[in-house]
Amino acid sequence: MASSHYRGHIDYDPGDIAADEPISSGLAFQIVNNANHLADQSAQVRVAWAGVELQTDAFTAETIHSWNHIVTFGPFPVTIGSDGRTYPLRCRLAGRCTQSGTSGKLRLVVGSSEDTRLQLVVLYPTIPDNALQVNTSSTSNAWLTPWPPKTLLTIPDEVVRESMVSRTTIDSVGGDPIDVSVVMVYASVWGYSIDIGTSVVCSGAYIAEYVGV
Amino acid sequence: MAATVPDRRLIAQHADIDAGRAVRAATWRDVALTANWTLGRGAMLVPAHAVGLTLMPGNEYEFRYRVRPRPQAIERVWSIHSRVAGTGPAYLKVEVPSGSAPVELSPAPRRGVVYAFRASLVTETVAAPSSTEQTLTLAITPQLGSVIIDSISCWEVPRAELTTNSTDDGTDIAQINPGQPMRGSTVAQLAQVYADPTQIGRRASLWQWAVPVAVNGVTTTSYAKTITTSAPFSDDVFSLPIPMLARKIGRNDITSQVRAKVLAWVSSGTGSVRLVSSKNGASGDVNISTTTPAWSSAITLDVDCEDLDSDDGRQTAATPTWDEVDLEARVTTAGPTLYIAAVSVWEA
Repeated sequence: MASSHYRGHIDYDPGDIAADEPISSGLAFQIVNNANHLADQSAQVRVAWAGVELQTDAFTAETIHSWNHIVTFGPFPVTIGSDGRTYPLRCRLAGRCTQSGTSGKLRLVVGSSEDTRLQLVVLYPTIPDNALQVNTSSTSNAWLTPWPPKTLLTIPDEVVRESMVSRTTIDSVGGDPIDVSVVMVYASVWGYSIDIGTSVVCSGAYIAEYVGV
Repeated sequence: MAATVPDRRLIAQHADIDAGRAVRAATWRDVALTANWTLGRGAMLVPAHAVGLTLMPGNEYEFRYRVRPRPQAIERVWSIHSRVAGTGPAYLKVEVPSGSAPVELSPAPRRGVVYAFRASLVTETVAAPSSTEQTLTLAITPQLGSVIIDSISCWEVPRAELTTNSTDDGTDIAQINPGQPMRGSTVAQLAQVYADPTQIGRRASLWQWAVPVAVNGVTTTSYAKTITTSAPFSDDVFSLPIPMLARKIGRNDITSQVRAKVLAWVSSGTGSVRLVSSKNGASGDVNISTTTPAWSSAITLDVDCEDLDSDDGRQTAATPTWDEVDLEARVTTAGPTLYIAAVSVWEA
């Protein structure tokens, strides 16, 4: 959740701070505010895609009456808040059906690298916290309203634990190997075509981190 | 020196600061760790985008992205989802940047199987870290058989620790000890870091899209979006606008400025592009008159920034709506063709 006092950056002149001289508690308060606000806002956009006609035909669910894997994004690191949970994810899906008078469903699932989990999530009768579903019966591409209504996804604690990996990097330019911990997740889109002779198409996806209210 | 970057962020407590009294070292330590975390955890350089193109064996396909990295990043990781287009075996040679030693990767045999959920990862070491705007290149060469590229993304690897020089701006935690006087230079360092919000915690990319601009080193128009419509602006490059919310800086801000460039060229004559926000109007027009692929002049546009009182960050809390950004393009006179092979939008 947003943690800064003013919910915004407060300007001050760093030239007023002379080394080896005390600073006021008021300025310290502003620095603390700015530290928290800029950490709140360092959330990243992880997926941002809207297709061009050339490409969207590739992202269809062709088999009716079953969930079809359409596309996977990532893995990408997610930001971990002070409570050890990931920042919530603001998500959207876009799509259409290939034939008028038919309908289909799309699901976006954000999860660990465990393939079974991603597959299991789409089989759930209810939509879990780390997934959203949209329905369409239109042949026009559109960003679709999730049903049930939901904009933010949250990644369950057990998925965060499963997805935390130790990655070897270097400690400086040309430096020595060193490990860092990152929580890596994938985002998969699945489609379910309901009527014979139609396919549901995914034509856009968007996932951005948000610190939360 | 130990400018450690923690795995998870901290929240420094305002309530621990009393007017007219010394600020505790523990508070400064939390601020310093928060600074190191915000500076060191890396940004998303290329938010994942789907590609959906079949690439033929034996040909090298070059993608280009325009980015402004964080200066602390010393490694970045490319994630590529691919699958075999036919039934036979195939693999990929990937170069990041284009021209470097290739890495061999295995595509998934088809969609829906276990391997389709696992990406191929390629690590790129940054020789000279910089926040200067620059082009990243990615070259993909299928081998043995055709390969479908499903999606591409790129992110900066978090740092384990920062240096305390002026590039990394790390704060040495070992200099902050409860019960001992603070060094003036430590406080000055933190005050410097947090005086300019453009230098810390940037949302590095808001939208990236690219298709191959060259095959075997020769410019191709096979994958670029082609625009032949002349005035007025009416041709949306994409099937849908992209949702966009920038970082909120000032406490009263409701918009922030973003910057964009397109990788484009024309067959002859002049083309023109602009960005249009569904809530904040259109950018100025940027003309394209080069006949070889080149990044356009910068397009600037105000878009909604996050509303921290809103459940999901959209403006405004009471009636949240999406700000959606379209890229519009045209040629200024009928006849020529405008080609667009990449779009990049990042925080100004």
